[in-house]
Amino acid sequence: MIAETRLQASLDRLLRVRGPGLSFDAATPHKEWLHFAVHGPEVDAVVNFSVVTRDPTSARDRDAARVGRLAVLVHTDRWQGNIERCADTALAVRRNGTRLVLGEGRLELRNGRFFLEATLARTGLALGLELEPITSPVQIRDFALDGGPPMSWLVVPRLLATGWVRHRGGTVWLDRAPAYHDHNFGRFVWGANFTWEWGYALPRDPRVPWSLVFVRISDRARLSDFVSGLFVWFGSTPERAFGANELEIEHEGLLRQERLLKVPGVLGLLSPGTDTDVPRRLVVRARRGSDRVEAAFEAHTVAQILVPHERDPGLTAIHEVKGRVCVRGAIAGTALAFESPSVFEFLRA
Amino acid sequence: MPEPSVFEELRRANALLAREAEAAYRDVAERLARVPVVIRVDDEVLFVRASARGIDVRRGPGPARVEIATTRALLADLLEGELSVLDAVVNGRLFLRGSVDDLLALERAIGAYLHGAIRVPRFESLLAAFVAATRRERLASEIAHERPKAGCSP
Repeated sequence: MIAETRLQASLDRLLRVRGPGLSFDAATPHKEWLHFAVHGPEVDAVVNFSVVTRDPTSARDRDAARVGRLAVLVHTDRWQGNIERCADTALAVRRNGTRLVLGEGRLELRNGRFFLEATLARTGLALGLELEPITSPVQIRDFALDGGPPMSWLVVPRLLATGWVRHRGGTVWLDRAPAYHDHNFGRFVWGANFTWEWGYALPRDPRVPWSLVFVRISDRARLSDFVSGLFVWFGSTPERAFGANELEIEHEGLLRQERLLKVPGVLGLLSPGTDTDVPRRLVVRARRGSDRVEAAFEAHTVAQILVPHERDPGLTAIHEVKGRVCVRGAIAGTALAFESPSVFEFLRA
Repeated sequence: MPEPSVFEELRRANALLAREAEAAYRDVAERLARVPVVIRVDDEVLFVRASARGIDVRRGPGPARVEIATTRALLADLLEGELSVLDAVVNGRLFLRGSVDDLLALERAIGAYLHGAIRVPRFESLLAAFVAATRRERLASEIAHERPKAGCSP
């Protein structure tokens, strides 16, 4: 019991909000976001809590020194969602980073579990979830985007979500539904020379022990990768990390749809149209010795989060793409064969 | 006339842009200088013209090269991403009149304005307040139209 309590406290410390700390690169704003995706039987939801902290350089900047944003995207038979800015006065990080308040959003870490509440009043969306990690976190420290200051990334690929999601069509109750979490923090500038592709596979069937995460961070033209990897968990334990030289990544086709939800809506005026370069299918093949894994993501539908560049007039588009992943392969002689709901993320700058 | 009026909202927004995104404001003024615009929003008529001194908004019509006619409800829908400018024009909710060159110049000016505005944090609350007020008006109007009239019988 004491050991379990210590483990939970240690997990709370690992998963907590970090804050900007001290930096030799204070000119670059510190960014931190906590991202969750949940897959219910009739609903998929993405929730993102983010905090940007900049060192004020003038009196004008002072009230923009710390900005929180809460993004919620829900897919039923269509996408609904928005991103809302939260004033500094409604933003609080408490209890050593284990409690984050962003206006109508709250995220608390307690006994190794997340307690999440999020409301976007204008869109009629709200969630109340308890998320229990069932895989150990993996943390990648100090990787750089475009040679910039270091970023860190922490991922919990598989959680069980219990609670509710309310949308314009009703309320969906979730009971130990599969969920995903990642947490990024560090200093970078939106619009710098980077893009990413990111996704996960977590089976609905709790008896399937595998889960995996794919990440690829590239330059804007996607001619060279800064970081890429496929991380595989067996049960709660990280089992394999395939590196860049062990991966083949293939895009097939382009996802097309008649309507494209863009948030915030006002940025859609600067980025009209529905064309994206999100692939219809993305296949990742990993091989090391006799170990091999193939994860094939079939994209079904996309929503777009738009972010203004900080040092030029461009926009970054973060595509949240709902689909299915089919995983096949074998590791240490044990077969992997499962299908998974997923929301892959394709960032284009 | 709904409060605050579009005239007041636009003047407030222009002042904010001039104060907090000066380069964008000057860019917009330069682009608008040769395209004076008359904007009709519901019952309001505004005349917008620009010069090296800045962007000037006045009540009433003026010698415009471009005319825009729309509603507050449509402006709120555009700001919320409910529909695109193209959809609004095709659906007859947004009326634009001017030469192709002048309309393109206006489009670039509006683009420059939005690029400046979205980088000013205070614009978010300004836009949110405008959208919320417009939604309230729409709701109030819908309720008023649904309310049964006293004394009426089938």
